[in-house]
Amino acid sequence: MMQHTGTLRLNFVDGLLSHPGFMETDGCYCLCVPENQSLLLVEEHGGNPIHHELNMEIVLEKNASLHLLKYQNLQSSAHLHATLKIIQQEGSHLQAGFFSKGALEESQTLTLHQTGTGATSLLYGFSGPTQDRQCLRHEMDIHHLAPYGQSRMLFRGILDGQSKTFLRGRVNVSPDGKHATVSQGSHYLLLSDRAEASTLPELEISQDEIKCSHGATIGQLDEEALFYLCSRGIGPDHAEKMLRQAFVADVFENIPSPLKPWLFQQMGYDHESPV
Amino acid sequence: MNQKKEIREMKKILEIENLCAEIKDDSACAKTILHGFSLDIRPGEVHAIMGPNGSGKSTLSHILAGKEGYSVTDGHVLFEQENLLALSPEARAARGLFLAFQYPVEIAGVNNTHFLRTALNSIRKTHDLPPLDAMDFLALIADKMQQVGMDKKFLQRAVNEGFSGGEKKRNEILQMLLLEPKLAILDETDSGLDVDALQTVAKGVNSLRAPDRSFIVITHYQRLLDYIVPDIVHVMINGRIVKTGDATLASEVEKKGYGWLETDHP
Repeated sequence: MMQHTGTLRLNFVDGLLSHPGFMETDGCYCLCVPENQSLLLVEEHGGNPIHHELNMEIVLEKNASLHLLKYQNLQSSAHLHATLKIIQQEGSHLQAGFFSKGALEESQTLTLHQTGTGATSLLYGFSGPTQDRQCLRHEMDIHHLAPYGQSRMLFRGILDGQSKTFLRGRVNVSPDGKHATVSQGSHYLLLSDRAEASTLPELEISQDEIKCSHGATIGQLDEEALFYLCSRGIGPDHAEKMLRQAFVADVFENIPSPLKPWLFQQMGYDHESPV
Repeated sequence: MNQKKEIREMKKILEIENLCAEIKDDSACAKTILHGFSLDIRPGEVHAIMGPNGSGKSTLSHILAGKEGYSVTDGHVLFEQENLLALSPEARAARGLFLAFQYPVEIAGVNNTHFLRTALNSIRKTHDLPPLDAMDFLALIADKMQQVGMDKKFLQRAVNEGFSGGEKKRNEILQMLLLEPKLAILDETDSGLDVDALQTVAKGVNSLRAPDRSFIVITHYQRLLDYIVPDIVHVMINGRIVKTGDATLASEVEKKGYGWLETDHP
C-alpha cells in the first residue's frame, strides 16, 4: 500500500490513469495516509470509456486527514463503475466530495469503516444538471465500529430530461459505536416532469447512546422565490441561476479553497464572492 | 378645457380601468376576485386602500406586480401610458414599479447583499447605467440601512431567512429605498410591526415621498396612516372601490368598521 501526503491528482482519461507514480495492484489502487499526515486527493474522470471499472482502497492512519474530491465529466455514452473502501483509524478525518456531471451511467459505491475512536467523516456531493437518459447511482455504506465517531452526508442534485438518480445512504452503528453522531441530508431539484430522483436513507442502529438525524426533499424551483427576485428587476434566467446556485451552496462550500474556482467552473457555477 | 383635461390625463402615473380578474383554476369554477376595479394615480400622490379581509387588496397588488396565477378577464392597466399587464415582472420593476410584499419570501442560500446589488444593477442596466461596484454599493446600502434601522449583519444573511416579521418588512423598505421606484405598493407593510418598527418604516417611506413618486398603501388599520398621511383614501369591498375620500375616511372606517359601506354598496 503506497503512502501519500500533500496533494495527489489522479486524472483518468478514457479509463486510463495518466499518472506515472501510482500503480494498480491486483486491479485495485491502494493508498495510505500516514499517521498525523494529510492528503488532498483529486480523482478526475474524462473522455469516453465504454466501461471503466475503478476499485480503490484507502487507509487513514491515526489522526490522518484526507480530502478526496471525485469529479467526473465523462461523455454522454460513457459508463463508470467505481468502488471505494476507506478505513478510518483513531482520530482521523475524512472529507469526500462526489461531483458528477456527465456519463450515461455512473455507479459510485463507498464502504466506510470507522474502526478508531473519534473518527469523523463528511460525505458530500452534487450531480447535475443531469440530462437525457443519464442514470447516476451513489451507494454509501457507513459503519460506526468505534465510539465517538461522527458521520455526515449531504448530497444534492439537479435533474432534467428523463435522467435518474438513486442515492442510498446506509449507516450502521455497531454496539461499539457509542456516542456516534450521524446526520444525512439529500435534496433534489427536478427541472422536468420525466426526471426521477430516489433517495433512500437506511439507519441500522444497535446502540442507544447516539444522535441521529436525516432529511430528504425532492421538488422543483420555488416559484414564489423566482417571482420575488424578478419583481426586483432581476431577469428570469439570472434569477433561476441564483436559485440553482443557492440550492448547491452548502455542498459547494465544502470544496477545498484552492479547487473552488476550477470546480465551480467545471460544474457551470459562478465562483464569485457575493460582493 | 379639453387641453386642460388632456394635460391632467397625461399626468397619470397609473390608470386602472374596470379591472376584472380571477384566480386561475383548471376546474370550471375559477374564483373572481376583482369586479371592475378602477383607480387613477398621479405623480406625488399617496393613495391608501383599506378593506376587509378577502376584498381583493392583495390580489390587486399581485396583478400589478405581475405574479402568475391570475387571469384578467376585463379592463386595462396603464403605467405611464404603457400597458402594464403586457410586461414581465422584471420589466415592470425596471420601469419603476415596486411591491413591498405582505409576506416577503425567504430564499435560503442567496446572500442578501448579492441579491440587493444584483437587483440594483439589473435595473441600472436597463437604463444604460454602469453597474455599481462593490465599494460604491456598500457605501450606498449602509446609508439606506441606517434609514430603516437595520444592522449591517443582515447584509451577510440569506434573503429574509430567519428574519423576524419586523426585520422582513424593514428589508422590504430597504429594497424600496435602494431601487427608488416611481410607484411603490405597500401591501400590509404594517402587519406584524411594533410601534417603533412602524415609525421607522413610515419614516423610510416618507423620506422617499417626492413630486414624481407615488404610493399605494394597502392596510387594515388607520395606525399606519397616522404616520404615512395619504392624499386619498379608498375603501375596497368585494373587488372594487366603494368609497373614496380624504384622510378622514380612514378615521371613519376605524370608528365604524366596514359594515355601513357594505350596506350602502351591496
